[in-house]
Amino acid sequence: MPKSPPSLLAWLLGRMIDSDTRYSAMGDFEERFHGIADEKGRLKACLFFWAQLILLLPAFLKNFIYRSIGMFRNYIKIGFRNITKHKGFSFLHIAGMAIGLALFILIALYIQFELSFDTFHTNFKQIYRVEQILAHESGSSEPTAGCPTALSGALKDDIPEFEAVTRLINWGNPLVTTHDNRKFEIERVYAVDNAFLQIFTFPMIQGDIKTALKEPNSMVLTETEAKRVFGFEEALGQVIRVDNGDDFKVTGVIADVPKNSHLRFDGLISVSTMNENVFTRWFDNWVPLYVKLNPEKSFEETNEKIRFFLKKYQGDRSRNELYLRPLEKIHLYAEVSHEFAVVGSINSLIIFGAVSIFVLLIGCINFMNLETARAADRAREVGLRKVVGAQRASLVKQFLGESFLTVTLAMVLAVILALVLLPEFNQIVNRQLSLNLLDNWVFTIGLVILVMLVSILSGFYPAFVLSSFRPVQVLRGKVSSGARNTLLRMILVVFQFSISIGLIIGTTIILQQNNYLLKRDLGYNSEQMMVIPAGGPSQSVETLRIKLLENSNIKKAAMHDYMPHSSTNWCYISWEGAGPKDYIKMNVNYIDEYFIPAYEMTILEGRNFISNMREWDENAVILNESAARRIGWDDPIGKRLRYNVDYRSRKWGGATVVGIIKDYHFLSLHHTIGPIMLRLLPKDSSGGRLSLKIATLDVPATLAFIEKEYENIFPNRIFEYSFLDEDFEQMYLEEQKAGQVISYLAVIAIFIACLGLFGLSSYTTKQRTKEIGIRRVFGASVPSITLHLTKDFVKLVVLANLFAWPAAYYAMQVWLKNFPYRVGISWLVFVTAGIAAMVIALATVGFQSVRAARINPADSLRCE
Amino acid sequence: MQPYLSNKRIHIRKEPKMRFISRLEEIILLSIWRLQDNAYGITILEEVKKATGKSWLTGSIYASLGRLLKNGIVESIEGEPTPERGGRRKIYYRLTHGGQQALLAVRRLNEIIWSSLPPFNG
Repeated sequence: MPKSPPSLLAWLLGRMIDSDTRYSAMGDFEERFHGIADEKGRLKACLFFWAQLILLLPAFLKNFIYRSIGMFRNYIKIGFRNITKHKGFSFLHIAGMAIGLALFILIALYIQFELSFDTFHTNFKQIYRVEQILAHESGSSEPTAGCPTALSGALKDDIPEFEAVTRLINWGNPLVTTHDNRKFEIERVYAVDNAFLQIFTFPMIQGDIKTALKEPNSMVLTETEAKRVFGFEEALGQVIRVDNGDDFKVTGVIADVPKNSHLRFDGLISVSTMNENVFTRWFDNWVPLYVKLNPEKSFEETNEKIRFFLKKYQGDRSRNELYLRPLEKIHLYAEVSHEFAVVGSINSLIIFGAVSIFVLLIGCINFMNLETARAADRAREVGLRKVVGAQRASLVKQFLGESFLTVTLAMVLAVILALVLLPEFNQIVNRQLSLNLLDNWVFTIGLVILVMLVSILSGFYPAFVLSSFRPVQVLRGKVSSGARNTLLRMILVVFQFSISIGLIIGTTIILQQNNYLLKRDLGYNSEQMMVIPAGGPSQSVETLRIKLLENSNIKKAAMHDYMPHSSTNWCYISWEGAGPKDYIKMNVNYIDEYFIPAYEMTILEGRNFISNMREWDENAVILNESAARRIGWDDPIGKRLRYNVDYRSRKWGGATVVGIIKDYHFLSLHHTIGPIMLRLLPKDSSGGRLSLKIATLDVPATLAFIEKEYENIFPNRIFEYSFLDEDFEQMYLEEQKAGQVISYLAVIAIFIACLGLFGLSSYTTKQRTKEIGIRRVFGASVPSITLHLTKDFVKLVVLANLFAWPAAYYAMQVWLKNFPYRVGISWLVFVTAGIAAMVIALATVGFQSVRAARINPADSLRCE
Repeated sequence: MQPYLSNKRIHIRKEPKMRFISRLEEIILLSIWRLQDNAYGITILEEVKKATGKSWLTGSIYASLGRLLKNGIVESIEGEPTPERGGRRKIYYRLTHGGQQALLAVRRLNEIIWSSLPPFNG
């Protein structure tokens, strides 16, 4: 049996011993290995080897570091000399790299922030949101964050795996009155269970975390909000009156909600304040639930256990399924209905990340290209170094050292640049990011690793090429810049320009799509439309409406329940002639008779609602085309249908179709138009919102007038308004943001690519000075020489187009698939992008070429 | 006038620097001297172990040996390859003239500093 030591181990050990004595020492090691193996067995011998290895390690490391610092200093010194010797080139390297890195830093900060959402809770791994896949009778299903109202109690009783459960009910923005009669609106308030503060980590500044939200009419405020309302007074224990007339006691003050929390609120009230009867229904799905899982229980098993939990209470027919969504997967991944948080999108993160890496790559390629192009210049240096005994490995190290130095300088600049750009960037992405390298040490380490990666990436090839020169040939003057290197440079330039052109195309299409989202005909006219909240008795809202219309600058006024662009309320309907199992889910909005004319919607058949003293269309509905089509009615007017939310109770209200309205977008353009049913507001309800169409003339005066009238009628409320156009922009914020970021990235990518091209072309024209001189002597004109010099680069850009077009086409196809309503991809975009890139490239190269062509041949041909 | 350089190869012999060797180096050199023709890695290691009463790493012995080799205090001679060394040759070490001088210098130094001392008390 051969008893040789494990070869890897032997090799490692060999590395640790100086090369002078390695041979001899390795012989000794092996001899001793055999000695021990014969005596005590192979295992003991291996252990001996390991022990030697480990015991030698400290001394070896000390030596290694000591020596590499010495060498490193030398490389840095030489690198620095080289940088200062070629200031122009170094500037191009460093500037391109710095801009690329700065962008990368900003995007990385953004991505880091987005990924950090909700991870600040101590137990965030154990916290889940209970979500539900709601199966509709029609066979379709949708995921929703809204759970049956009775679910939280049942989960607490039946599923011991959950340590705590809390409901989270939107309490809107109540108006509170302090004891000294000052009024404040608290913007976002949720009603939650007492367990809320134990599940989530929102540190309590004042009050008892265990009982703060136990009693009815308890309220907890955030620190900022407490300061705003009570100033220097102690908030704890204060009694405030909330708009409905109830008194609430402030039982706690918590720290402000961190910015990376998907739950955003200014105040919490105890859910026990609400009527318990609300929480007894099993078919009313609108309560978001959060649970804390016992750390000893497995997520998968619990998830499986609750899957069909609803059957127990909804009956065996129920096909609704529950599932748990991990807390940290809400911000980026949740696409469910009843979502109350403003969620980000993992897709734009991926796009941002990919594009910023591309930009960085373009910077790296600049470095590679310029360095390999300069190879000829440095060939002598390399040759001489080799002659006096430099080894290839040490040359590679030297060139890598240079690229490391360049990248480090670029990184320092990049950090400064990023700091300067950060406020602007924050504005675009709508975040408050900060670049604090001392606090964010994960990020700092990332940057250090990035510097190493980028220096290796951009310096490896030049190092490899330069160190491969043969000294004899180089010193004889035979410098081959090498066909292989030229080819590689061409490939890299094509690659850079492909990315740039692809980015131009992508940006153009994204901007077109964004524009389209804002400009598409929605089926109604939202121009100059503003909406004010107007809940309360319908009589006073009606008075306000009539009063406002007296002003000639207010053209139209209409009451309604949901906004025309986000009518998310829905119910089930059945209809005349339907089978017992035919239901469809239909959105529903309550409006008054002025709504349709005010928004200039088109009634295709039938009539609008009538509401006056004699007649009130209580049981009338207006459907949209899609609804009529979905039901399958050819002549819908006069047909009857039935509607109810709770399909199990079989208590149905009846209604007659009086009109058909042209399809309009009642949800954002991320959704296709579905069926919707419009109903007349009941006599005693105002719906909660008042839409006003105002003239473009003298808007501030009109607003002041509206505010005055509003406060006359609702003295206790704060006047607020929003214009629909602004709402639309808000709706497509994510897309707008992505569009803006990508367009900046594209511009910068092109800029960096041009820096590289500039350097490259100036270098090649310099090399060809003599050739140009000879051409001039033989009668070539300046234009013809310019053409000759730019021809090569033009070819590359054309080639880049060929690669970029299909790739960009495919990528944009995929992106546009997210939108049911999208722009077509026009060939014009591709051609324009191609031409734009060409023009930019020509301008960059042409400048150099003209300059080179105009040099007097007498100067360029003169020998020293 | 430039000095004339002949074609004859000039044999440069590294003269050992007159320096004091370290204690471990001294022990190693003495072990090599004691072992005479059988001084190679393992035997040196054992000698050093015997003398100092503690076990040494092969690696650290070799670190010193490498230094001594570089400074011309010891020289190496190749022996026969053996199977238990994985086909490698044994490398024997021998003191050079400079090595002997160095040892003698240490010894002299020791004698000087140890002589004419007052006796230890108790």
